[in-house]
Amino acid sequence: MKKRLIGIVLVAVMLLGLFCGCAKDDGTVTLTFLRLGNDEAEKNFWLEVIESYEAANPGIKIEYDDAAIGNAMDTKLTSLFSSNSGPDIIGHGILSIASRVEAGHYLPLDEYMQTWEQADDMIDMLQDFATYEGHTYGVAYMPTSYVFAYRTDLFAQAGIDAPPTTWEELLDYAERLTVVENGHTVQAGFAFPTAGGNLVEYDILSFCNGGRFADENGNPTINTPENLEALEFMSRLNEYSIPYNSNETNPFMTGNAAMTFIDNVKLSPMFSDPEYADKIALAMPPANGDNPAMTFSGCRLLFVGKDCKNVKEAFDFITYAVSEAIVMKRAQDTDAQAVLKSVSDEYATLKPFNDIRIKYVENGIGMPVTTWSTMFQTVRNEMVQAVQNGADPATALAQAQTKLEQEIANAK
Amino acid sequence: MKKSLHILGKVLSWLLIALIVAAILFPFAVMFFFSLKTMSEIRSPDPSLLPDVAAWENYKIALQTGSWGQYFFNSTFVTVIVVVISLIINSMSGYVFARLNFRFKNFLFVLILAGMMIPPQVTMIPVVSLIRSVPLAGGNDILGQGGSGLINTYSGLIIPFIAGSFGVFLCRQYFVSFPRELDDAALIDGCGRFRTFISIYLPLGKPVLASLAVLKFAGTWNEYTWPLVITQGDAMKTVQIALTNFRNESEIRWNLLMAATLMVSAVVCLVFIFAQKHFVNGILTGSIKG
Repeated sequence: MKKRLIGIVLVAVMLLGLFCGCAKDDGTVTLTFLRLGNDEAEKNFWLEVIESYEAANPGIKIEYDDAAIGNAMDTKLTSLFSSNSGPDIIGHGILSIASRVEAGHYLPLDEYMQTWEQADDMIDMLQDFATYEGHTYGVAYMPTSYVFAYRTDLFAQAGIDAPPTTWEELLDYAERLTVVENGHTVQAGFAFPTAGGNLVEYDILSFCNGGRFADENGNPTINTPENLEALEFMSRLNEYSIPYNSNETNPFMTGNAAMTFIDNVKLSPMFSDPEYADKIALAMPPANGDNPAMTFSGCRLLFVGKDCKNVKEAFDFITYAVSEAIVMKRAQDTDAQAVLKSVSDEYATLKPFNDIRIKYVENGIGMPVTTWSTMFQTVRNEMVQAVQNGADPATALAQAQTKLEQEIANAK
Repeated sequence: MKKSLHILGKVLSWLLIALIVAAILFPFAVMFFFSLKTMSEIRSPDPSLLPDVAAWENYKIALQTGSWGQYFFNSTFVTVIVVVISLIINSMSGYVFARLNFRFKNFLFVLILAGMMIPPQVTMIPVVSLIRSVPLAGGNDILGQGGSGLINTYSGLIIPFIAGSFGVFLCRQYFVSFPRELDDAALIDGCGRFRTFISIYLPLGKPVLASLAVLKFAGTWNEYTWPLVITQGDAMKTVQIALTNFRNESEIRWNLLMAATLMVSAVVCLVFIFAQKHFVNGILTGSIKG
């Protein structure tokens, strides 16, 4: 019995020792890369990019990793950075910039951007996303614009021959395209969520009315006449929608809506669905008055982490990942929007509606790059009160501004 | 009258049990039915519990989404090693605190108890630092600098879980209830401390070890945050991390997620079913002892 126990202990110790492993220093530079999102198509794309980069750069090895959208990415990043084990290259969203820069997790890339020949080729709006307090911290690789999508067959049935370009037209078409049966809306004229953590549809209306959520100094500008007008207009659209949560499937995806604002990537499967492929079209969002048509655009960027010991090599990989050939491969493989001006024309001819998709990138506005952007849920909650529960829009926006300012003050 | 009250009481108790069982099984039933639906059924604005046609192929597709053979191997390997080593360490520590007398024994035991009161989230970052700084591992020098230590290794997944305050406490409390005469008898028969532990305490401690094994198995198998932080890439992923594979940029594929979740949780259920007899027998034996 005693021998058996000693044997078990020894085997266990040997097994542990076996898997410890000691790395050899053969001069190879190893970079770790952690990306937000773990879906198969994106992952395969990145593994191919890494493979081709390693083939062209024999002295560099990239270790790929990803984390699911949600808390997983931030839990992992925060733990690793706190223990000085952070990844060298990080693929993350706009919202991460301000807080992680303040925490010292992302390195400024100004020095490297100055020597990068293609820096000016990046679509201007995207370069703005990467800038915080005058410094560049990231390189955009994946815009996630919201697009205005509509059903051409339902438009034809209603005798409408073109998408709306003004708010008046949007309201009129929404009314004409809404189908109510037995007191229930079975077809929304214009679908947008009225609950949940996200309500970027409001942002689009606000942007198309000249509204913004932050001034040049990064202070919140929620309670403005433009934003109020957008919220009042959204409240009027409410009766032409089907109530759903922003975490649920948009009724447009199930054939129960004639118009909507929707994430370009989320809409992608509909274009390959034989039932809907030739019945959907994209257009620029309807704008109010003389304001230009703008949209909400999220964006993923590539950053260099504070624990990176080979910043030059990490930046070199980043520039490779947004080179013309890779951007076009990305558009082909994953329906991603292009990020470079030089490939705009080629991208526009790659797939139907790409000419509009590139305009969305050029006219996309993201969440403000500020430390308080993560507190924006306060504003959303007040909007939901106004749109869904009939609260006075003016009061809702005033409360949103006050609460947000209070939260910012508390955080300081 | 008394008999009918007795029958009524029995019926009510059975009804209560049936309700509790139904409440426990209902989420599993929902999970099972969702695993057999198509995504268009799940997206439908007119939801139903049962699938129109059972899509059994969801299980095959779920297993083809990622390297599930590797994920199951990783989880199984890590869990088995953790359970085996933790049983050895916890039972030995429990015996030491129950029977041996040494300086600062009570102080050390209180320290261990204090460990139970600190949530793992609080210790996570220091533990990551420790794991990264293991000397001579993962490219580290003798001072534990320069490399990644045990990050992204099986050792990194195993070591933080092989000992634990709860296991030591459980074993100590169980062993301390044994009559001292057992130790005296063993001493008269010429047993040293180690022999007494192996020949007397371990066989009699089967109930507590069985309980600890099941709890440790479930805890390690279901661990999510630590593998999330410590592993990189597909090769080291455990099943819990792999369940996030079904969330892509545009949606969560609930049918595949439910299919995979059922398969992952089935392992824990199977372990419990196989260990159940020993587990229950052990507890019953323990309850009538002494």
